[in-house]
Amino acid sequence: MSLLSVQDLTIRFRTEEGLITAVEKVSFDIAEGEILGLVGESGSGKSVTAKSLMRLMGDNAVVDPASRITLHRQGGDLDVLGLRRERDMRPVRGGEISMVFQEPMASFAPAITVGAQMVEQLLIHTDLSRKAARTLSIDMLARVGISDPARRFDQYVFEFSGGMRQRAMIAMALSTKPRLLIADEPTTALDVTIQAQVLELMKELVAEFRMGILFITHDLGVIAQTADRVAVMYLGNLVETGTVRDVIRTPAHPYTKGLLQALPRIDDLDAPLVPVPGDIPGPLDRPEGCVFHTRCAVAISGRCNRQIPQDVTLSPGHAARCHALTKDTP
Amino acid sequence: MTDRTVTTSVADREARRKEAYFTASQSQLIWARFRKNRSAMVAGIVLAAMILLGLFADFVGPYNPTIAGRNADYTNGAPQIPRFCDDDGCSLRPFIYGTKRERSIATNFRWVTTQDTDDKRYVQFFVRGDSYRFLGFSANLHLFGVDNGYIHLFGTDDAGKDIFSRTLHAIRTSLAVGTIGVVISFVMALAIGGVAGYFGGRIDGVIQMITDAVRVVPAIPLFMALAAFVPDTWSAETRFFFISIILGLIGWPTLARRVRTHILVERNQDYVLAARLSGARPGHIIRRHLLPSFTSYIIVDLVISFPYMVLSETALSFIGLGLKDPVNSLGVMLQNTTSADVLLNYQWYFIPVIFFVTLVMAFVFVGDGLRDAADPYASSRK
Amino acid sequence: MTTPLIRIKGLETHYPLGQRLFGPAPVLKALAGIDLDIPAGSFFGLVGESGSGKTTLGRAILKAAPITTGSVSYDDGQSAFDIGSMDARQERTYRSRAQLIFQDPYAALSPRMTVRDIIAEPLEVMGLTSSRAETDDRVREIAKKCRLNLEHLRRFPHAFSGGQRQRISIARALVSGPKFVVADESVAALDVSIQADILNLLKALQKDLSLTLLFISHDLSVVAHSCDTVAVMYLGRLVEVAPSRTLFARPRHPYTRALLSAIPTLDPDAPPKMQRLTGEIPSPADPPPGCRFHTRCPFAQARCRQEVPELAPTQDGGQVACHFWKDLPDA
Repeated sequence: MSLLSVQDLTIRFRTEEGLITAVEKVSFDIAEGEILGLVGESGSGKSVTAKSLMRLMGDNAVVDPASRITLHRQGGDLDVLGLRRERDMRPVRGGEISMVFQEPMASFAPAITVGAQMVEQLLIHTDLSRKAARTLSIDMLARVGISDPARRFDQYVFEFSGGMRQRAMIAMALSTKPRLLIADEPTTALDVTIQAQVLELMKELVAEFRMGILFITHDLGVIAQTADRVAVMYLGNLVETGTVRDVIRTPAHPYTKGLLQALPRIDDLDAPLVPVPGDIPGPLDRPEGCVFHTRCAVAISGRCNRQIPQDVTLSPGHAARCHALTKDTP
Repeated sequence: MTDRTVTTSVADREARRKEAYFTASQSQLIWARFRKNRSAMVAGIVLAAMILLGLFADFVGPYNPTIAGRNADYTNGAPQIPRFCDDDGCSLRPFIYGTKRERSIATNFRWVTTQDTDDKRYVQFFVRGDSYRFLGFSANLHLFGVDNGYIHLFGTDDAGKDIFSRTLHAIRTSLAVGTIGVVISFVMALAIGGVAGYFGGRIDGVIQMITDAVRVVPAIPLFMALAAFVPDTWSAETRFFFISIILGLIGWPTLARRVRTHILVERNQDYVLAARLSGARPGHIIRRHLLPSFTSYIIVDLVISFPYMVLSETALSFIGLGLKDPVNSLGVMLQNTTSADVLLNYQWYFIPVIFFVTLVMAFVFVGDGLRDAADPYASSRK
Repeated sequence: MTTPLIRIKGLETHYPLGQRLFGPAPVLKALAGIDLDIPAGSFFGLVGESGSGKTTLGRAILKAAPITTGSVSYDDGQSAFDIGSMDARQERTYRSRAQLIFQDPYAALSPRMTVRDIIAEPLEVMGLTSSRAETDDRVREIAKKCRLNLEHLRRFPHAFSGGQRQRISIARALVSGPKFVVADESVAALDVSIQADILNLLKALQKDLSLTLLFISHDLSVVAHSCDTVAVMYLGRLVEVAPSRTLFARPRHPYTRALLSAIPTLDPDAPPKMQRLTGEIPSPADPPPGCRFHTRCPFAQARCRQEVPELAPTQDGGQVACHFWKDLPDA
C-alpha cells in the first residue's frame, strides 16, 4: 500500500537575484516498509524535497500549484501542500512523518536534557501522560542500542558521542511511531564503523515498525546496501528511478552512469575513476531543456538543449528521463 | 540580423555583469550590497547632509552663534518662517515680517514683541553678514539673510541668539567631539586588542583584566571629578579637546574587545595557516590577512560607536559636566530647556532635539546597513 | 635501498588538557608512538576515523603540530632536516619543500585576494622569484598544470565552485616546487563527480612533478584507488601498513578488517560482512590500556589488555601491530 505520493512537485525560491528553481516536476511514491533512497549531489534539491514533505521550506518558497503531496492514511488521504494552519501541520511534523537530520548536535537543544526533548515530542503528538512518555522514551533509547538508557535519559546531548547522538535522534523520531521517516544524510557525519551500525539499526527498525524511510544521501554505496528503491536527482530534476539492483547494475541515465563511473569501488581497484566532465551549474545558470545536457556525453544538439525529456520506462519500475533513451528503445 | 545583435548584446551584458561579479573585491561587493538596502541608503544621504551642514555651519547659518551675533531686540522670539503670500498678494521672493518691541501700560509694562505686517523683509541669498574663519581664511558670505534686520528660522533663546545657527554649530561640535573620541578609542583599541588577539595566552589574559578594569570605571563620577579638577582658566576650546580625549580614553574597551575577537577568529582560519606554512612572518600575516579581514567589521564598529560618543557628550554637557558656553553643542543647547517657562512658552528650544535624534538614527541605520552588507559574505556557501 | 623521504621514529604529540593543582596535568596523546617511513615518489595513504590522529601526524611532519618526543626527518637527497630541531633558516628552506593542501576549499582561500595573488603568495613570502614578471610566469605555469583557466586568475574566490577552489589550493601548494605534499582530506568536502576529477589531477601532478604525496582520508575506497601504500591508524597509533593491493586483499589487523567490511559496497547483492564492530570509539584523552583497540576487538585476549603491540613485518611486505595476527582466521 502506498504510503506517500509526490506528484509534479515544483518548488522555486524568491531571492535577491530572482526566482530560483530548486525542485522541478519531481514525482515518486513510497510504499509501507520500503526504503527509498534519494541520491544527489549539491544543488540537486534533495533536501528541499524532504523538507517540503514536512512543510518546512521557508517563507520565500513558492510552490507550484500543480504540485501534490498526498499522505495515504486509514482515515482518508491528507493533502500535505493544502494544509493552511500551523495546527493542521502537526501530524506531518513529528506525528505521522518524522525526520532525522545530518548533524545531531545541531538538532538537539544543547541546554535541555535529551530525555526532556523526547518527552516533549511525545506530549505534542500523542495523548500519553508524562510518566508514560518517559517510560516509552527510555524504551526507545534501549531499542536503538544505547546502553544504560535510564541514565542517558537525563544527560545532555554534548555528553553523547557522535554515533549515540544519531541513535538518540532516531529514537526520538521513532517514538511517535511515524509511518514515514525522512532521514536527511543521517550517517554522513559519522565514522564508517559507526555508520555501519546505524544503518543496520535502521533496517531492523523498518522491519519491526513497518514504516517507510526516505533516505537522502549523496553516497551511492550506502543506498546500495540499505535501500530497496532509489531515485537519482540532478539540479532539481528526478533523472532516474528504479530498484537498487536495476539502477546500479544497469543505469540508464547518463548522469547515473557518470556517477557510478566516478566512484572508487573497493571490489575493483584497477578501474579508473572517470569524473563527470564540467561543473554543476549554479542555481542562476539553470540549463534549458534537459538540465544535464551541458555535461552529457551523448547530448543530442537541438533536442536536449531545447526539450525537457519525459519519463522513459525501461522495465517495470525502472524509468529514466533522457532523450537518448527514446531512440534506442525499439 | 537585428534579432541576433539584440540577443548577443543581452548575452554580452549578462556576461559582463557576471565577470564584474567575479572580479569584484570584497569592498566592492559590500558596497553593492549596501546600495540595495534602501533604508540604509536614505540614512546615508541624511547623514551626509548633516555632516555637510555641520562642516559649513558658518556659511549656512546666517549669524554668529555666540553672544556676538545676538539680536537683543528679539529675545525668546518665536520662529520666523518665510512666506510667499499674504493678504497683500504674493511675491516670488520669500519674506518675513519685522517685529516691534514695545512696553506700555497696555501690556502691563512688560516687553511684548509683535509682528508688524507692514514691515516686509525680503529673504536674500548669498548675503554678506557676520564674519567667520573658514580653513584659515576670513569670510563673511552666508547662504541667506534678510535685507533689513534679522531672520530667525528656529527662533531665538533668552539672550537673542539665533537657534538655527546655534543648531548647525552644535552639530559640528558634537560631530567633532565624536570624531576625536572615536579616533582615539580606535587607535588604542586596535593596538591593545590587536596585541591581545594575536599573541593570546598570558598576554591576552593580562590585557583582558586591564580592559575590564577600564570598562568598569563609571562615567558620571569620573566626569564630576574631572569637572572639579579642570581649572577655570582653560578656554572653551581647550575644554572641548579635553572632554573629547577623555571620552576616547574610556571608550576603547568595547572596541578593543571586538578587535581581539575578530583577530582570534581570523588567526585560526585555514588560509592564515597556509600563509604560515609558507614561512610568512607575523608582520606579513597581520598586514596581508588579518587587517584586511576585519577592516569592514571595524568600520561598522566605528560607525555604530559614533552615536554613543555623541550621546555621552550630550548627556555630560546637559548635566553641566561637559562643554559649556560659548562652545556650542547639542547638550549645551539642551541645558537651557529645563525650566517650566521654556516648556510652556518657548517650545522651539526643542527643535535641536529633532536634529539630534535624526543624527543618531542616521548613524545607527547606516551602521546596521553596513553590518548587514559586510556579514553575509562569511556564510555564503554553495 | 633508497632512503625514505620522511622517516618517523617514536613520534609522540601531546596536547595539554587544562591544569591541576596537584600532580601532572592530563595530556591528550594525539600521537602515541609512530614509526613510519614514507618512500620518495609514493602516493602514500593514511586512513583512520575520528580520534585516530591522522591529521595530527600530517601536521607534525610539516611542523604545524607539536613534536613532543621522537624524531621526524626529511631527506630528499639534496637537503636533509631533522624537523624537531630545525633552526629558523632550515625551517624556511623546509617550507619550500613541504606543503599542505587543506580539506575545506571554502576556508582555505582568503576571500580578499585574487586567485593570482593567492597562488603567488608562497613565492613572495619565500622570496623565490626576483621580479613580478617571473612570479606571474610561475603562477601561470602551475595554474595551467592544475587545469585552471588563465582568465580566472583575475577573479576572487567567491566566483568559483568547490572543485575549482580545491584546484586553486593545489596550485598554491605546488607553486614553490615542493617535493612532499600532505593532502589532508582534500576531496572529502567535494561532490562525488568532482572528487574523481581532483584525484586524477593529483595523480597526474604526482607523476609530472615527481611528488611524494601523503594522502590523509577517512574514506577507504578513495584511498584504495589512488594510493600505492596505505597506513591505518587507530587512536594515535599505527595498526597496519601495507601496499594497498595487499591491504585490501588480505587485511591482517582486526581493525582493518572491520573498517573494510564497514564500507558500503556498490553491489546490492554482496553478502553481509561478518565484522561488525560494537561499541563507540574511545576518547583519545582516555585511551584503553594495552592495545588500544582491545575494547572493540572480537579477538581480544588477556594479553591485549596489558601489553601494547608493536609493528611487526608480515611476509607480503606489510606491517601489523597485533599480538595474534598470525592466528586470526582468514578474512
